Amino acid sequence: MATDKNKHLNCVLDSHKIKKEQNLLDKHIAKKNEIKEDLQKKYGSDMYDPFNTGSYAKHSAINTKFDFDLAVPFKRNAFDTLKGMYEAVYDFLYEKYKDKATVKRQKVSIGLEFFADSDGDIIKVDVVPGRELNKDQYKDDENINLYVYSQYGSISAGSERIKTNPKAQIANIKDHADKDDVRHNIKLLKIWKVQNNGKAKSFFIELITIKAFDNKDINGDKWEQLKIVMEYIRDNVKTISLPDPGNSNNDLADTLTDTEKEILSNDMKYMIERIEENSDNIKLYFKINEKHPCEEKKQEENRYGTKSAGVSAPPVTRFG
Amino acid sequence: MMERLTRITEGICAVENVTINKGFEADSDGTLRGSITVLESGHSLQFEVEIFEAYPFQFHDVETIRFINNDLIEYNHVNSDGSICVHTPHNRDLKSKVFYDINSLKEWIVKYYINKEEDHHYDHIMVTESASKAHSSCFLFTNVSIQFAKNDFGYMYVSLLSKGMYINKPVFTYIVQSFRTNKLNVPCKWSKFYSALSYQKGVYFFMEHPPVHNRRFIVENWNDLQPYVSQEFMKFLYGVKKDNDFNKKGITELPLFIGYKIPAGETHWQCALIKITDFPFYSEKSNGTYTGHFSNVLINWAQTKNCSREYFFGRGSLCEAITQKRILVIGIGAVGSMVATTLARGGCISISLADHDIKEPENVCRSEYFFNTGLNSKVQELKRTLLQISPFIDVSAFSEFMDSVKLYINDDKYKGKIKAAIEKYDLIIDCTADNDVAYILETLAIESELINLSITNHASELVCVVKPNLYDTLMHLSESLDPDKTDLYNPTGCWSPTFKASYNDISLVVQFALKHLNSAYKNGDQLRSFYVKFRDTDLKLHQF
Repeated sequence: MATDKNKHLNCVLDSHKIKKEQNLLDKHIAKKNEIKEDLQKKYGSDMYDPFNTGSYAKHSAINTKFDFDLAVPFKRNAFDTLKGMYEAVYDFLYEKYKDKATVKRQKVSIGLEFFADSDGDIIKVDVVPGRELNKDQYKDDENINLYVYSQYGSISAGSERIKTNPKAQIANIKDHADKDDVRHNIKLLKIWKVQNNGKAKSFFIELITIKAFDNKDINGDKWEQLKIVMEYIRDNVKTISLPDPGNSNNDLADTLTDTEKEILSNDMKYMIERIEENSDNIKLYFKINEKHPCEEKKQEENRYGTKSAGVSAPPVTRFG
Repeated sequence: MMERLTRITEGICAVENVTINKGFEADSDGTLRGSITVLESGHSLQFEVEIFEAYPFQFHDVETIRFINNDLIEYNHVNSDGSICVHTPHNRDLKSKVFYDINSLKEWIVKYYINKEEDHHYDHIMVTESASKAHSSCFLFTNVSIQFAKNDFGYMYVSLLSKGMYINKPVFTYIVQSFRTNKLNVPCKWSKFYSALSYQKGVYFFMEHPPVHNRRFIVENWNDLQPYVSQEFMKFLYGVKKDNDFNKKGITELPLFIGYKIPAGETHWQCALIKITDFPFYSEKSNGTYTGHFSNVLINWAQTKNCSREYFFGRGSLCEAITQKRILVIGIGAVGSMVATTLARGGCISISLADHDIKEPENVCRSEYFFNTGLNSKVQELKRTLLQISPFIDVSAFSEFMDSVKLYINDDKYKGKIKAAIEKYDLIIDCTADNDVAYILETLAIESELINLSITNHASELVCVVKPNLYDTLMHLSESLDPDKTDLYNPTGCWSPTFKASYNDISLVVQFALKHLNSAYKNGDQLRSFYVKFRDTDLKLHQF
């Protein structure tokens, strides 16, 4: 039986609502606050107030991967170099959390992955250290410079050229994501990315989806809208420019290599082809979070008895 | 015959500046013989012409017209009997064919006689085996890891590979195993299996340049070799002659390998066979010193071939991103056995096979197994086949591999070890169509590349699934492709029904899938799950 693509996507979104994982969300918030306090104790007046820049802050979060990014703006004189800042924060976090978490250097952040708690939950928080451009300037412009620890798309490791404004980034995405259609499409593509090991950063997906809405007449039901967004990515990702709302000189398109862009374009191409060819294929690309199935899914399972014991074994269809 | 003669004569006369000196006549075996003079760019050359009965058709890929002039033997593309190498396209008409052949001869005169052009590719020197020998011998060698120096000599080792027949004459094929130099054994680069064959001794001498006369023809007499070898080698050879080991082992011929450099920077080897009972060798005493000499007798040359990997797979192979991987093929039924033989023929260097099953006669019609081996372990039989295909592949066979995995996967004590054992391979190709195996490999989070291949009934579809989400994708495709589940093959007896499809049906989709995978690896593309669908005359690949 053909799948109703629109209903399925609604169910996917419903099953990924952040409020369905309130407990886990609370644990993330608590952990983020703990790290923030530790950093404030350590660096005191050398830093401004750290703040969350992840998808939760941008209203585009899904419940299978919490993007909890803690931006830590340091004062200009706190460190001689950006590299020195990055390494000092890493050393501090490593010493502080090495017995509770895996602490690793990432592209521009330091990742903390806490060992599973008694519920089996794993909390992940990325700390993004940055430094104001000039003494006391942050109070006026909220701009910071980041250090690039390892190859970041086409940006080389060791680069000190990323200037950004995380607060402006949050405001930009949040403004757009407050529109239901934009938010739903961002969330669906993030769900796809998480389920399929996509390489694009969430921020990249947010910006390119917003750009698709700026440039295309996107309307219709969930699938019709998503298809237009995916077609836009398929056709434009290799050449597009995605200026950082926090600094228009930064192009977020640079965070993917040409090969990664080619792969993303093909991902969209084949995904559209396969779903149009057979609507059931939408279930392969956009899976319902089985932990929180929507009402319709629950009813379907009850109707077909897939949860009940003693169903007849499906016939063998593949051979070797 | 008269009409044939007339058409040929007309063809010759139609070529400008060619005259018939001696009219063509047929001899007792039907060959026409005559003589012509060709005037080209002011050069006049005379050729004896032989036209065989099969003309205008080629015979055994050779032209059946020959233009002979023994004075031209030093020029390029001239055979040892003075015949010029000419090749023209097929033409069924005698007059037209001879016209084009003589024009081809004129092109040779301009290119190689007048302009003395050299070809870009290297042609090996010409070696003629004596037609009177009771058997032929051929020695296969590979490039080795060292460069030989002028006057290097020593023992080398060869193994008999096979005894074949060609035109009613036995052909013995040997492989060269190694060269002994400076107390080091320098091996040829065969696989472990071929390197372990039993061997016998030979000797070698490395000279810088090939021993030739008329630029391209190998010397024919032992004493023609004399200027090329050192007295130290002659002393060594004298010692070899005295070695009784040959008689004890019943060895009757000693291969003498003669090495020289060719333009590609490689060493090429020719092989002269010495009868143990009749060494072509004597020594003379002069001023109190013995000097070794070769005798005035004809050399019995054997064939040699550089069979190095690059030549063995020179005509076609899979890309290196596949061939250099350590590959594990799990499940070697119809699909898995075809995959394995294709990988072996494609140049893969390491394949391990895992399957618990036994090969039975019913399997032969659509997989890479043979009737004459009867009931046999699939892994053992396929291992032998892969080794027979390629001398550059190492093959391991495990009949209990997945059994052990299934039995111990839920035991935490062994889980890590199982994962590590599987991750020894760079690429795992699961052709079991066993969902348990797919599930286990997925849950183990194997770091290695993973490809799952299976087909549907009638080989209507081939399903290829890769990471990520391998298991979910496989389950999804199993349901969504909706193949024919009713028209299955039900053998008598207690046996699960199996799919219906011929070797031709299966190999079509398997080869198409492997071609696509090879292309993806070659181009560095991301591997994606796909299915190949065959309907009517349409074969199409659908990627995910």
